[in-house]
Amino acid sequence: MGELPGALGLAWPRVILYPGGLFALVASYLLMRWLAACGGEPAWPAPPATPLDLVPPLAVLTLLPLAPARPFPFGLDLPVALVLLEWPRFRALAARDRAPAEALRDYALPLVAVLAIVVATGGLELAGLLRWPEAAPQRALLAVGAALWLLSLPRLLRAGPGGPAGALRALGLLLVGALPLLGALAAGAGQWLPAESAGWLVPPLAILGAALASGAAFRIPERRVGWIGAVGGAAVLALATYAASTVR
Amino acid sequence: MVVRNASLALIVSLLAIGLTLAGLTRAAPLAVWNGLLRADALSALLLIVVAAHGLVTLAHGALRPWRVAAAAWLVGMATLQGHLAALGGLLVLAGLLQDTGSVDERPVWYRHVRRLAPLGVLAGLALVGMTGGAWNYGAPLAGAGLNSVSFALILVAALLALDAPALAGERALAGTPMVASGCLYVLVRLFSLGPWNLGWLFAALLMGGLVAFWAAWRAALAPAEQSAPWLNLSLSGMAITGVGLGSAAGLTVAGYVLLLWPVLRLGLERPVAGTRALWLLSAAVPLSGPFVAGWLAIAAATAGGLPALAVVLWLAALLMALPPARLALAPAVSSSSDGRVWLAAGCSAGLGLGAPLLLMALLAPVTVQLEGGLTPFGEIVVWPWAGLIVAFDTTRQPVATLPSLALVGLMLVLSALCRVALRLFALRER
Repeated sequence: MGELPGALGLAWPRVILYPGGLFALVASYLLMRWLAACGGEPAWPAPPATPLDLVPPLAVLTLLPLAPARPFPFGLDLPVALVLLEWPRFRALAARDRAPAEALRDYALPLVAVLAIVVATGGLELAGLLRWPEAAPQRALLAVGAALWLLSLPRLLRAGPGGPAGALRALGLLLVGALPLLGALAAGAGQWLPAESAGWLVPPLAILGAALASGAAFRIPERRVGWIGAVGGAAVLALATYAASTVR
Repeated sequence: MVVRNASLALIVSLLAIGLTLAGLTRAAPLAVWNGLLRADALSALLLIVVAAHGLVTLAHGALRPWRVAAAAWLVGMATLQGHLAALGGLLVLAGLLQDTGSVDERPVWYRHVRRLAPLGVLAGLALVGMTGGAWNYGAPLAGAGLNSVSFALILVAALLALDAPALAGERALAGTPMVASGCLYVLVRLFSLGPWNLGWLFAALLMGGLVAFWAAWRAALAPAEQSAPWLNLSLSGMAITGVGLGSAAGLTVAGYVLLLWPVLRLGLERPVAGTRALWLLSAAVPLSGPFVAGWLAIAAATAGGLPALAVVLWLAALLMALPPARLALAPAVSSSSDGRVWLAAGCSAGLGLGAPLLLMALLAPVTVQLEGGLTPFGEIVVWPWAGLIVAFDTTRQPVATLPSLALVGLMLVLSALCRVALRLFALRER
């Protein structure tokens, strides 16, 4: 019965320092500066900052399974994380009366990425994204899934609100895409780096790599993103079929 | 007024019977008169759902309240029948009693399709009885008579009762939720007869997924105040998809969706635009009832090894989230009371936050008692003291996690911190 208060009580470094709190505020500010430099500023105006908009993305950031933060026993999965991260945008979306087809187009690529990730990791849990698969088809699927996720960010972030809530949302979406990269780097670094050092060194590298990749994605013309997404989607289907056929 | 109060009392008594039976049948089903009257956790769940639909219909000001009460009681009593013919017959009677709906935009024959849909259920059940020779579904060899024709008759009847053909038309009508719930009950009850073959599971999955997505799409396209019938249909599609998964996780989805259905009807069938409470009926609000329903459906499909279906259900949940949010943001046009909407919002929040308890108390007994007919592809396990809901796949590996209470606790802490931080910023700016 005391498990839940105990876990929440031990989570204060996550809430105050990392990956939520101070880290989230500074990193989201820097990320927005970087994205603005890459031509990726949100087109929608920033709503006034309210706890109602800030808390859901902040909750996801706080619960992200990022080393070297203290483990939290109640992790999130992709659907919950995405709903919480997209909350500020959804409020704006509902107010704008956009056609549902546009909303579907925005989420088509992230959902293809989710499909690849689910087939690769066998589940929807965020912690599962950190486990770099041993089998080659699953590895390829996870890599393609992460790449498609990062590729989908420009469209999602441009068509979303700015301001602090939008920045936290952008950071959350970027960090979800950085998790498979972190898993891959950790698997590679495990051979030549002590686990404790890897816990401190690898996450910043993965986050930096994901930020650079998303910055590059912002420079790709939207039409070309569509083509790359279509090819990626076909690759996901082919790899998923192959992976399913190799399961005993 | 007397008729209305008497009808209300009858439906409340039905709800009380359902709740009592839910407690009595948690451990094992009850049967009397050689199994002719039979109650298990599924019957109790349906009694509660049907009574809730009855109460919602009365709250919306039904023209003939006695018909509502009679239909609720007939469907309720049908769920307590062990005899297949009695079960189907009572549903047919309930179908005949219900109103034919509004006269607009539908040919006369079409308006009678939904009320006659239970005839398909009766025919399907009669075929099971005649083929197998056992008319009591609790009898050891009752499942011998279940074949593809009887299954197809029951599935098609359920789809007709839900008004699924409206997807091809211009608009959906409010529907006949009590009889439709009864038809869905019969579909789930087929698991008491034994495991389904893969073809039946696939047919139910296909139809359910199609209805869930297509109806959600129509709901998102329709004017927000007319979206309720589409949302109900999409939700029912999710229930059929859950049944088609044929696993404990799938049945949990179906049960949860059935419980959520009356709540959405209460809040959205005659919506009061501009009411903030409508947000709580949107799947985009974390830990609301529709959000948990969507999460359960996605998790069950993933646990069943069907990630493509999970994505389809995800899209359906996304589309379903739009109309209530639009209604909440719409300018208020009438001065009518929004009490109903607030009640529905409260129920939705209760269903969402109380999901772990609900799953444990009402839905876990259903899946345990129907275990003999279910596949092992997916299970929902609850740790109610931690508010944790986890979906496991067939190898008992967790595939999705919803830490409801931990999330609420954390969000409360973060809200307090954000409030303080924003206040400090405001003071500094001043």
